[in-house]
Amino acid sequence: MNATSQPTQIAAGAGNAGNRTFVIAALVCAALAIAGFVVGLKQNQDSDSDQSARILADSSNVADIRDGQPRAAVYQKYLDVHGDKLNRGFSSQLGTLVSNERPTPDGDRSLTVEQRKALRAYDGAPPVVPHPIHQRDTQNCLSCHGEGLWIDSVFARPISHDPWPSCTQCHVEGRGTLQKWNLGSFSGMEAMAGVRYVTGAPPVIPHTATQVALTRSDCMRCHGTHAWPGVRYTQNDAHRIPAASTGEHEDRKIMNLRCQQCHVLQDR
Amino acid sequence: MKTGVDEGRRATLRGIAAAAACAAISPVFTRERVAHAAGADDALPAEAGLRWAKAPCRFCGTGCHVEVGVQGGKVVAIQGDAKAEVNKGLLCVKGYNVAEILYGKDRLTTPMLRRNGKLEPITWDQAIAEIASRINKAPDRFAFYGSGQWTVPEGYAANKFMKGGLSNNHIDPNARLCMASAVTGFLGTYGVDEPANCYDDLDQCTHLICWGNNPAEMHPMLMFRLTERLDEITIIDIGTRSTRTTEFADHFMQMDPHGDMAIANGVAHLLLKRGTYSKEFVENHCNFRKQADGKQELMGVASSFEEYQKLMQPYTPEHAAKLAGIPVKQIELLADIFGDPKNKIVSMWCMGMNQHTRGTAINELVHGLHLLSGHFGRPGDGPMSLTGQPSACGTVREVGTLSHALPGGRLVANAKHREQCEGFWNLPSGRINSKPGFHTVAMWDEFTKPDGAINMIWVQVTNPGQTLPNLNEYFNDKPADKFLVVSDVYPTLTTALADLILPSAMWVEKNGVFGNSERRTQQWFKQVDPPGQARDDCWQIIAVARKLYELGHAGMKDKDGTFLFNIVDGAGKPVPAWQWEHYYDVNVDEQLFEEYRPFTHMKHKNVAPYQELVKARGLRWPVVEASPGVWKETLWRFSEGLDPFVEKGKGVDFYHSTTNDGKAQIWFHPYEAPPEVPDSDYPLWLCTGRVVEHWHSGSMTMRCRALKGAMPDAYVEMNPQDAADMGLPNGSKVVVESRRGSIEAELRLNFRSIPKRGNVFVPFYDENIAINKVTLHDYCPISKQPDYKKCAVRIRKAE
Repeated sequence: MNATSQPTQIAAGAGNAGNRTFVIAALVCAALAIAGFVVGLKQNQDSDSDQSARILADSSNVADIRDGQPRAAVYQKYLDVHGDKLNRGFSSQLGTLVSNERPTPDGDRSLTVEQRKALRAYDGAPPVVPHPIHQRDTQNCLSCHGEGLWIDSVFARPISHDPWPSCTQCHVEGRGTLQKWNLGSFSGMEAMAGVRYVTGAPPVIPHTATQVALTRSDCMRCHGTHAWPGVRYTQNDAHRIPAASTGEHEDRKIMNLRCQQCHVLQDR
Repeated sequence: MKTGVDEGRRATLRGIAAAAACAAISPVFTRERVAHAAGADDALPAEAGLRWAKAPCRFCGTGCHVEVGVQGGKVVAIQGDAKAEVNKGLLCVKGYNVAEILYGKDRLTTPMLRRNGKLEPITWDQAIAEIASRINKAPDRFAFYGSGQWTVPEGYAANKFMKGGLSNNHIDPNARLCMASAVTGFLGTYGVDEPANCYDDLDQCTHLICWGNNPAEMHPMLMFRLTERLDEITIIDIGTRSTRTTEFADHFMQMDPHGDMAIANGVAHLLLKRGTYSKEFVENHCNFRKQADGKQELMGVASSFEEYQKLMQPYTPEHAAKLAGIPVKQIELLADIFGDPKNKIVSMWCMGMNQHTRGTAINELVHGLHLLSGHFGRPGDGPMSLTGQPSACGTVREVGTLSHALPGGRLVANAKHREQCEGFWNLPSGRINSKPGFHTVAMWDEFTKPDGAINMIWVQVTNPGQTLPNLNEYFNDKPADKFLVVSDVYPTLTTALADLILPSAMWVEKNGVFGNSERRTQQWFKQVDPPGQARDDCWQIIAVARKLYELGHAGMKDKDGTFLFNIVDGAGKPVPAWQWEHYYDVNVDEQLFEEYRPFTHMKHKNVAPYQELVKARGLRWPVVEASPGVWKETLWRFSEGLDPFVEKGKGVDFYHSTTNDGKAQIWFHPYEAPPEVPDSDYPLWLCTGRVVEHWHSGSMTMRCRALKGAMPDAYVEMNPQDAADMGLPNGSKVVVESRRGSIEAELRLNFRSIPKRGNVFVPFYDENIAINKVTLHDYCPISKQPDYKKCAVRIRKAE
């Protein structure tokens, strides 16, 4: 297994292949690491950088990151320790998870809205988890979803709020999207776009005050670097944000307050 | 000393809580972010066409408030109510998904009568006439089976209809299966029901003891309040399974089933032996009590401190630990905690202690530990009994929809109490029957056996076909001549056997009032119309009563000849509320609630006026008028300065004391083995319960996509080592069978919980895997509440 610390990128895989395959895989990984290093350096120069850790994985092997550092693949460990077939599903379902696209500032917002709807009963509902989870561990979600993590070409998105100690009291395993269940006629509230009342004015925040205070408390998690297409903040002079502050814990809070200097809740 | 909990994981959890606490400078963090939310106004952009209304959540007894987003006559969104003290703006996954319960595709929308074995649509007029004429033929053989999901006005109307109208006490709720032992525990100890403390204690205690309780799944918002303080408190988890709550616990005491009684006695023994009990509290505020030889009665007989000491003598830590199946040092640890007066201890429990063949006893033993050690009567320090249903307290316990009770803590067997109620209801003297009716298990027994005394049951807001114990005996073999009426919102195992089905309105399709576990009375208004012909349960009761009135049943009139449910308009003119088109001409809920309110004054449980409740996110009784127009709730009862009914200078006053001296009773109860224990034929213990996604029998939550998606079917859990020994692989289909019945389900190891060796767990929410075919019907002799937490089973691989 190869790992570099800057940028954080590891290749897990190769698995049972022969020696020769392993060497090739190792070379590929090294090449990717170097490429990633250069790209990472470049990206770090502006506020648009994606500082998320990356894991390259094939469909039988998944690794994780804790405290920002790559570790051995804990999900592998879970497989061994618990013999839990549900967790085995995690890696095999990797390819079925949403979003194989890199987030881009521009893009089709309606596509984003559709993808988000797949996991939410209505706009503002806690999303269901699109992959198997460990049923008693209440917070290992944060290994991937704390700061966001690339696993192969799939991005585990950072959560939109600061964590409470029990993720599973609100987020439950979805076993697929909600649409697969034909249980009734409930039609949930649709996500709204922020309205600009005057041309050029900053759009208002289309969430409720309770949501902004509690469950959508960190604007940049959804509208910053890792934004889904079409909901990312516009890159202009007004949004010239120091690179260091986009990823750092404390500064993020200040960032949030800054957002609300210009973007306000409507009809407060 | 850490016992049995992964310290590393706990440290990580603490880390999250601490990080949240440290970053208090920002309004987006933890308690500060909650406070911030509470100050906010929740209006959404106007173009959304959306309005938000308050309502308590439909599900459990925690009593969270949700904001219901309504658009175009439909509920389209939910958010936690930031103004609600209970949940402070957050919800659990059930609360967030509660809107979908209204819109399941198989909602019942038409009254249906079974003719020649087939259900056929009929009109409401026909349905009401059918019920009324059948009751009129044999009023004494009719029984009403309701629940802790009845709203306060619904339960009040049903109780008045039965006891005041039909002179029939055969009315009992499913809450008999859920918290009857908590009621008898409170009555036996304090002489008055319901907790003296409230959820605020969770924000102030230093120690939390979960007695067979898994709040992380069953009362998630209470767990949320606790996990906000992980760095400040010590959590002790006593139970037979390692659960999500155990993940947060400092100490896990994995007992054998029924071991709670031994643990409580072992701790009492040590407090006495070490002299670390509170001499001051015991001397000033407590008497001692025990059961007479060979008897099990609510009031027992007087005892003394000396006798109590002598009776507790055998429960040495070694003996207690052996009975309970935990290490001696854990009993000592609990005694250390109770023995330190500086600690603030909350004992929390729900079904684990209530669904217990010695349910009254274990409730009284835990109250006794708090009284003996003086951990009572100040904020953060006291026993906290939880309920599983949203209005088990508000409706069942306060309105008294039990076969032996009347509203306001009155008893049917007490002549003075009957007279008081007849006075309130303006009934002729002697109208109320003095003989208690059938409690739940007896009622269904009388209904299902061919020569039974009950020939007709009307079920509202519950699903006994799935939730009664020992279903094969008590539900599935109904004789053909018996008539079952079921008011419900979806097809259930109960409607499957119904002869007449009435489609009901639910939750925000009607006005309502609930009362949660902490004495909080909560009001909401109707927000959307029910589908099809579905109508309010309360209307159904009034309509049947009116039909009986028209048929000439004398009981439907008061002593002046006025109809029992005299609903009037603003000018005092009667409104024909029995006609559906006029039911919402006035607020029937408000009138029934205001009629009921004086009853609550009799045991100092004064509920707030309806209009005060309209303004609040619930108010905790007793609510008294501090100054004209200013109503004040009570957070802690029986303590001077906190409870308005405690006189100055008294300190602590148990003003409903059964010994009439202001003192509470500390009970002695011996450890007694459960009625059925594993043997060579049935070598394993079975425990049933819930999961976070599903509520009660799943008839509502199984219609919510996110909830069904997460947990589509029930399963069997056992200790992985037991499974390995028996050669049962994870994921295999197994049969769980007892002497009473069997079910088949998938075995899941290392899943939601890890049962202790020799124990099996199956959740009861899944109608396709009705585990209550397997459970035992034996009940606590005092509360009559059955034990769903332990019986003997065996497991084999399914063919």
